[in-house]
Amino acid sequence: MSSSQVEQPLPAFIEQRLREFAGEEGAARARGWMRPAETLMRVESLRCFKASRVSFADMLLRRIVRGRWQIRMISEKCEDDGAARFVYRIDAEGHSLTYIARAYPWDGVEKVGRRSDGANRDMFGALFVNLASDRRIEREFETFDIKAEGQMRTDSDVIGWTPANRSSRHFDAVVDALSRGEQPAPELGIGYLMRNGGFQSSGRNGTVSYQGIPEGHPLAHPFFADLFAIYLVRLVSIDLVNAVARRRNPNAAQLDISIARRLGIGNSSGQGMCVALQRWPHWVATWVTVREAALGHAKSLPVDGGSISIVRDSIEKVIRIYERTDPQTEDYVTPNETIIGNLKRISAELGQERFGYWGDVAAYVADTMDGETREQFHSILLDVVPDFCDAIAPYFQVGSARRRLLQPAMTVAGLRDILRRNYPWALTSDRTLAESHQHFWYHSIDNGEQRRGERIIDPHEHFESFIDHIGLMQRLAAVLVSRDDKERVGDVLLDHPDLHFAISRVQYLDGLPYAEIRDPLAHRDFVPADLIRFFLASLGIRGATPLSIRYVRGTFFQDQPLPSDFSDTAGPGSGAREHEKEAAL
Amino acid sequence: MSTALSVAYSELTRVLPWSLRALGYAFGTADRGAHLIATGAALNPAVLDEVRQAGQRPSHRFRYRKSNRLVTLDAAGISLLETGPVAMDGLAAHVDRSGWTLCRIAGATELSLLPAVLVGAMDYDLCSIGVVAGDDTLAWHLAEAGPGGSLYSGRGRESLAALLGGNREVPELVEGAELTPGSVLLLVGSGTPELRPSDHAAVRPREKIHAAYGNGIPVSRQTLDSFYALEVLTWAPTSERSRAQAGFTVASAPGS
Repeated sequence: MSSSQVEQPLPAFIEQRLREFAGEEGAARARGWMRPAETLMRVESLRCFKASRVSFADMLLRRIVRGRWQIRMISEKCEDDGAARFVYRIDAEGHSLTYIARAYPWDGVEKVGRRSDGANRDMFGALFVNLASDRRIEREFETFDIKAEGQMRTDSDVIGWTPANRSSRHFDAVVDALSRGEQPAPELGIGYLMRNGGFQSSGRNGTVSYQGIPEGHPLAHPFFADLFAIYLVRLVSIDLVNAVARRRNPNAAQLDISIARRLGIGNSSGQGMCVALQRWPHWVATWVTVREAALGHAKSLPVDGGSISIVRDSIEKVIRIYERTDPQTEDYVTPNETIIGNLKRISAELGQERFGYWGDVAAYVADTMDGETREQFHSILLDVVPDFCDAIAPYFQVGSARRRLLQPAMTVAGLRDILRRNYPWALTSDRTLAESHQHFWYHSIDNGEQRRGERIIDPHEHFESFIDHIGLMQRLAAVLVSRDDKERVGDVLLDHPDLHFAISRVQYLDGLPYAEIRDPLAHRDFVPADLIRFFLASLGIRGATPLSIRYVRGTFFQDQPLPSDFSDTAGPGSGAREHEKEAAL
Repeated sequence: MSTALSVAYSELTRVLPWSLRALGYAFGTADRGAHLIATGAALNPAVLDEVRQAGQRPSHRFRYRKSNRLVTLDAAGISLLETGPVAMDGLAAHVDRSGWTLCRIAGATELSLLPAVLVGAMDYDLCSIGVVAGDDTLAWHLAEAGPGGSLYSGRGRESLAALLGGNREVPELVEGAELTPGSVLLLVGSGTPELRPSDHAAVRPREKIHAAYGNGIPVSRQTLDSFYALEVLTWAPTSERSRAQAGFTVASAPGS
């Protein structure tokens, strides 16, 4: 451990688990390896994060495989024009639920999947909280057929809708091949057949609020519903090409399961993700705290034969992903080849017995390689402590449930102390030049799509989305300067009601060093794709590829198990146990 | 109210901040107001219909003055969604064991939000009483301290006095406040006095909110549409330049 490292406070839940795994002294060592927020919570660090076993998609898949969730299609109707209706039943951990999908007649138009498309999608699906009756299912299909933004509503018995679009080129190519009785040619290199159009849930269109999903429900977990819905779209995409091909030719081939398993769901994410991160800083704190605590524990362990073998195995898997990922085209992203080369170098150097602890290896990587390799190695390192990762995973729910509650009796002096302690990076930020807060995020009349404009030049600055946390903290500090130490927060709010957001934010984040992103997102030079990549890594996407400074693409669930791989009805050799390992990537 | 639809609690907390901003409320106030309205609607869905009628926020600020344990607040047409929570904060900031702190609010609108304001005191672990003066009588609500407590409601001084049993302090404070019709009195104390509920209406806000999360809140199409129509006012007009600011491209995705 370097002398510059400072022990980070841990939430009680994680601290307790850490002591159970590492003992008192081991826990102290692990804490010592955790990085200070001053460096970790910079965009420069967060942008490098990579998916790992504590990403949401990975945790969900492990749970699906371990719990042997049953996902079965129970009805299928497909028309000549490619329109279809599918109904699925899911049995998971004692709960049963319905998923339905409505594919529209194929219009031959490629849709990017942006919010401005409104209801113009190739498919809509609905994931119900429980099993839905035939009548209820029919009503939902009728809603989908309205296909008009603002006029489609559902009820609180639905967790969310799954709009999605076809990848026209590959969807058609696969259907054509199957219709001819053939499998799609490998050289097509198909990664997915459909693209996620954005899970519409937690109140959108009348869906149940996330907090309303019953306790104990398998999807009552942050982002599990979102990602399970994407997983189901993956299944629909496979079932749909098979169904359309059969419709064209009753003797059509069906997609080989080994090919199907390689298919994921395409995903495009825009800069609205940055707003979400600013709006829900306790989410950020939760994700980073779990990852960093697990890393601290892994780094405190000795480098031995067993763990070297695990790390090398993980490195090989990760290299395979990079090898099939499209080249990075943006100059602010480390080329895949560089990361592959670095990972091979690390793997080779692990055999030289020069490292005592995994933290020494991580320090060596951090000192000699780029930031993206550093964080990729960190993600791999978590595979050394899988049980600890599982043990602290419940904190994802604990941390995300934190409430932004005001403490009105706190004195102004007390509030100023917190500001000084936790926000010096914000209070000392130089706002002299306009470039420091040049941008603002706004919603467009194109179905509310989130866009980024320039102050003065672009309209509607007064309706900007919250992004400028540094400006907010500086305003709060300026107000507090003029108040007496003994006054209370409640007194300040009587004069400045709108400061409730700022004050409650400062108060509820106190004690969460990994909550605030310590850079100005409104700055001229901020690259939204940096934080989009951080968000996507936390969700579990691999192969994220920015195509501009504001737009990142990637694929979910590629090479991940299909229901037949892990269900109870899987035949001999289906390898459910094997997939339990693979699900962690 | 025709209740053809249900609206999710989190749908309200997402759309209403924008609706309220369209009405002229600052971001921080609109954010808080949206949660207050959602809580109010969980307790009584009719709140949404009243909020739908809310007008543009006046451009001026509300005024207040403090004397001893009483805050007198002239809302001057500003909604209770803004004045109520901060009045509660102002009282909660100075509650001690010596008795009730009071705030008299005149000239506020959307008074049906008063129960939701009291739920805020429950979160602060304080007991609160809210009174709305009418022409002939008054409506009151009493929220027990603590998030799991009950919220009692009734009409008339006698009904409130009956709930409070032998406690004469509160009725005297209400009487002494000299409320004019349409004004509101907030009382906040550190502990819940001994209550003697008989046929008083009572709910547990936490359970109501939980139910709203799970089942949604009944709402008329007209009311819900009005919230979304307000939200649209905060959306910027589109243009070639604006579309380029979304950052999307039509290039093929990796592996597509």
